[in-house]
Amino acid sequence: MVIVTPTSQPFDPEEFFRFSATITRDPTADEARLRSAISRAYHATHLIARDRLFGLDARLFSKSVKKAIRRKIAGDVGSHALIIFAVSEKSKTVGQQLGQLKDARVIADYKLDQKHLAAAGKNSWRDYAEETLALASQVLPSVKRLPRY
Amino acid sequence: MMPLATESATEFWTESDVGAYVRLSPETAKLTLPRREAGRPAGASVELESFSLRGAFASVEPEYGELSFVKGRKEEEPTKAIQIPQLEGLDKHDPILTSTVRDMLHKLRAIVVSRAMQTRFPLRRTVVSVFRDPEEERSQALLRLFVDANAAQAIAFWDSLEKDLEDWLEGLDEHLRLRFLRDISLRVHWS
Repeated sequence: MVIVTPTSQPFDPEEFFRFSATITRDPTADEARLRSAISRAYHATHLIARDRLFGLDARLFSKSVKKAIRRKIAGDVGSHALIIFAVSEKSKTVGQQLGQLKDARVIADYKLDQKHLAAAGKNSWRDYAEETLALASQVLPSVKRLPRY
Repeated sequence: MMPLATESATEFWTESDVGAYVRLSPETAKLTLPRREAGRPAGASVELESFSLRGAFASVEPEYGELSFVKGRKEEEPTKAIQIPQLEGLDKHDPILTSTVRDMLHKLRAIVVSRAMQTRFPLRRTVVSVFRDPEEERSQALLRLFVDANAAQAIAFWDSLEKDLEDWLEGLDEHLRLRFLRDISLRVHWS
């Protein structure tokens, strides 16, 4: 039995990425695990981007900040889209790459029809997980350098 | 019709019929048509201002790097070619695919194709797609690139578009710039 001791250190979201990598490296990983790996890889990058822009647990991501961004983009979008928009204001390509990770996470978590794999040019969940992990590994260093919003 | 570029270099911008910008040299930019096209005799040289990017092939060396056409090569000599794929998916109908969004997708593709030609990056397909996010109840218009490259090459190519995108978006008015950031994005898929 493993006893987890509470710590004062905040959780490092990169642990999600390492978790994803462990699953993806496992040749026996099934579709459920590979979908989970994709989802966690996105969350690792999303959380790091969010906290770089808006502080730990997005404490600076107040209602007024969200409202200001929504007014700017003239759209009632969710918090994940707001983060991607905020990243895009700093770097267009990093924003797009985070968007691709987000799409993969949506497909992995919500879309059960396998035709969605084909839209991304993939024949298997392993291929899709490997592509997503490779992209996440490149995006992570970029989002770690994001300045405060 | 597959025009072959027999001469050209870099650093000169000219506009194609899709609003694209192609870097070519000011002095040597000419195309030689392999067959009769648009009323011109086969083998005739045409100025690049009238050159269409659609379905075009450019003669280049096989490895990645700066685009460098061979000068004075005879038309019948074998050439290595980079195919510029057609833009697929334009027949899709979706509320997000307005004429403004379609126009910006064309411009985005032109920027991508231009950079791919300069760096000899192998684009396999370019596809317009609409992605629906059920969680956030929104759609985005996507330009998907399918490339014949590995992950590192594909992401490096993607990163190399940053300055081109910045320059283009700086020239747009604020409304269009924000519209692009909200409704349009690029996706890159590799083998």
